[in-house]
Amino acid sequence: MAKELPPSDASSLARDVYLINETSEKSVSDFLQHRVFSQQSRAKVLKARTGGRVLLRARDAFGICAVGGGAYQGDLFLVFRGSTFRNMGADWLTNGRVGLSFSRTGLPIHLGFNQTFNSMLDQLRSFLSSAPPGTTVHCIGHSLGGAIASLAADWFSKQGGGRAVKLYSFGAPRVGTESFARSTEQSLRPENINRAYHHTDPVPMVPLFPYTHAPLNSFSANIPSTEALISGQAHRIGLYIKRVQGKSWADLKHNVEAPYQLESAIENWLRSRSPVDLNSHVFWRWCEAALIFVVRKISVAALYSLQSLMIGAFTFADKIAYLFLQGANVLSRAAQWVLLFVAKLSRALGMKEPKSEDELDRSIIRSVLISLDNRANSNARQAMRFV
Amino acid sequence: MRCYFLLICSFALSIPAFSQSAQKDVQLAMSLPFFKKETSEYVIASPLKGVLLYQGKPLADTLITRHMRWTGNEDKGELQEFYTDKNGSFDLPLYTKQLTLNVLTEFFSTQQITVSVDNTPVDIWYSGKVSNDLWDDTGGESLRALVCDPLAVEVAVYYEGSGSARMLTRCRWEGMPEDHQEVQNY
Repeated sequence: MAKELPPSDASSLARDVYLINETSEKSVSDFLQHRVFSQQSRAKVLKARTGGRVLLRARDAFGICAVGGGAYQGDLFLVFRGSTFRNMGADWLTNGRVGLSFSRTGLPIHLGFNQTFNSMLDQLRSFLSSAPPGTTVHCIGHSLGGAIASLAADWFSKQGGGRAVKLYSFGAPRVGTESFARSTEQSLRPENINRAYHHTDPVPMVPLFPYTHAPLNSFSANIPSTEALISGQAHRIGLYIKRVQGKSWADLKHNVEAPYQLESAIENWLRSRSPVDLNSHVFWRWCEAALIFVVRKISVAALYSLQSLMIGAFTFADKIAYLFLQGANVLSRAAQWVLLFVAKLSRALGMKEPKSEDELDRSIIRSVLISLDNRANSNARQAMRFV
Repeated sequence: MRCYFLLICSFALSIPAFSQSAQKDVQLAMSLPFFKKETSEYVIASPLKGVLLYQGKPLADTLITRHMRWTGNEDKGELQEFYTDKNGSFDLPLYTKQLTLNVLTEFFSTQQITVSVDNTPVDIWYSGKVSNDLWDDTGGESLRALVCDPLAVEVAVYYEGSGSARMLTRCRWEGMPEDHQEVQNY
């Protein structure tokens, strides 16, 4: 049975990769002294056929590949982080590449992440070809590195060769739509997906719908946190390391979250006129659940069509605004839900609230959704490095 | 079914109209003042004070360089030069820097110390800081009776049961963790 990295080792690797500087061999050597590589032995580093280096370089991200020793003898380790530029700017959350494209495995995923992953693919193929069949592949990353690790794990799991693939991500954003998440869950299997996130870490909450996380129907390692959402403190890798210390993945996956999927609860939330707190992670969970609820009311078929048709650099707001308006016009029973949702968001954002279905037009819906999206990304960007 | 078909077709036909507005949205989002920056003092490297030996004898008047890198200055970093005194003693001071970062920025820094022996550079110390805390790169405390020898075996030092090597060094000190092993080269 493939040996799994405990949360303490996975999180320390996700942190240590930030200390690597591509121009410093010493920093690479220091990283490779981690016990999973050098347990009294025979760990070695794979050399790519091209370039002769173990560092995976891309414009937006960076990765290192090494073979384990000791208990992880022969296992392949891939640890990713965002590039210095991308980590500091965090514009991967809001730039023009926020639309969708197709993954190498043929499913809709985040355009920007896909481009980054594809730029590393030749190097990854080279490493994989050097690894003996049947070895375990461990894909690890924090934040943007976690997103790339997710794509790498999905890709590896579909390459055959009898390899077990395990994913460990901390505070990772969403990388694909529901169909991608389902596919990843099926090929990786839920027990091999170790997605850790703090309840008040804003980065795992973005990008908003239609992006979602894998696993869909199993527990992720959700970690209670009291740090304010807007502070972004819960995104720190140092805090993840502290919180997972001494715990197993089973311990971390044991926490049950609030029932955001119950339709009756969502309807109550939409009808409620109580003030909401945009700085609360609870608001964002309900908001997103409500968005999906409203879209489903319009058309379950449209939900899937929306995911597959959204190719390219469109904003979330444009797409959903169009759908909402069409839905409100075409299906009167959906109109009340669209109005409740847009009205609630308007109040929360301090915008003018539409009072009736007649007041709903594309401009109003779009403005509300743009403000919502900006606020979500603002929260997430505050958690990232920025100069 | 006809409604869904019309919905999907009309959406597909309207795709080109969205791309221009999408670009404007991106520009708007990028221009909004989301973040506060603050200027604070950051500990780039903790002090290191000790003696440099070579074949058991003090290495007097010997050049020691300290190359530091930190958040926002990872590639070039900063290089400092020091010299041991007649007793082979060195005293690398605390190095801090005023950095203007978002208050939530993750801060990392490294320091690499090299000595020149017979015109050959030899690394005697490498450590990383993963927080702004003083002594984070020396195991949480000021090192006592630090002795560095370019001929000593370079070891990786581990702390508190962590799998990560926090420093690579040819130095030894009083109270040095027993959890260390020879550096493996790849």
